[in-house]
Amino acid sequence: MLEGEFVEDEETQQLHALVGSNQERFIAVNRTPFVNLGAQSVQFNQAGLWSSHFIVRPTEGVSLKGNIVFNRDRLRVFTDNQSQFLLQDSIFMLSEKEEDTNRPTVFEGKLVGQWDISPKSTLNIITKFQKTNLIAQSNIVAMVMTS
Amino acid sequence: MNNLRDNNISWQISGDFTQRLTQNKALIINSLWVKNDNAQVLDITQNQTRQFYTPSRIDSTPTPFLSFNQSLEKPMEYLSNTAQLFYSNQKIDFTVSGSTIFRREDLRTQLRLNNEIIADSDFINNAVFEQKNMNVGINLGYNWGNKRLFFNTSGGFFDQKLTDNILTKNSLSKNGFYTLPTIGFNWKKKKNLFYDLWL
Repeated sequence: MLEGEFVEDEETQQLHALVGSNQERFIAVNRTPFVNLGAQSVQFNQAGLWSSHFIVRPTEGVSLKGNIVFNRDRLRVFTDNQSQFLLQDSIFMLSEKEEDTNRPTVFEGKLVGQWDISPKSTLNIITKFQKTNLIAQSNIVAMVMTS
Repeated sequence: MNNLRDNNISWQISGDFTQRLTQNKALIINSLWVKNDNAQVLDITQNQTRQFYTPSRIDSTPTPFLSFNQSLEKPMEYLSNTAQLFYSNQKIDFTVSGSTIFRREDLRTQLRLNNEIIADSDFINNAVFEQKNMNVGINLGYNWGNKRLFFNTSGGFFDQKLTDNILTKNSLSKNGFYTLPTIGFNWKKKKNLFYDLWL
């Protein structure tokens, strides 16, 4: 079984050599990894939404509508992976820890004014404002151990 | 470690004025202004730590060996003014419109490798793209029964200008006149619809 896998890898390397590509930059372990431990956890530390709406009609012909929305989230994802490469005379272990943080912030505002100037004419003015801010961080710590 | 910061601020103000002139005529004037400021910064930093388990010392100070930073700004401004005059009776509808459009987009990017700006012009952008358009249009429709024959035509003058402040330090512009005529036929009968268009 093990020898068969090695033969298959050598064939792959020969094929790569034929097309003029070598993999010298990579660590040639000649084996596919065996993932023996992996974990992922997701945390929603913060998820908040605030909105405010109003409609006013100060006179018979004037109406004002407006709304404000404020949204702020904070999402964190933790992933742990441990891969093990069983070599002929040693064990090659790769431990990876990834931490992702997403912090989107959205602020939106809209104001609609309608003015009936006369029975035959109207004036509408619409104002929209939007501010978005996204911070996305990812941090990967990889550790290699051989024994 | 990857760090992306994206800031976007957009303003949009539009105004509509509607005036009914007579029983069959109406006038609509519309203005729209949009301003959008977008800025992105991407940082990629890679650290390498080597630990030597020797009895005398443990060296574990992180050494940054690659720091990559890209900043990007894409402000955009748009302004349009449109006036439309409508006329309709039971058989004929007629619209005359005219509008002016102005749009400006900037693109500014910068690349840093290990906190040093890459001065090569291939990695820096500082360009401005401006578009101007002035057009008029006529829509004419004739209705009889449940059939409708319509003819639209619009045309105008466009002007596009691309200014690259890094590479060529001059602008590339293109302008000209254009027309877009359209003729069509529409027939609706109970649950059936036939629609022909040629342009």
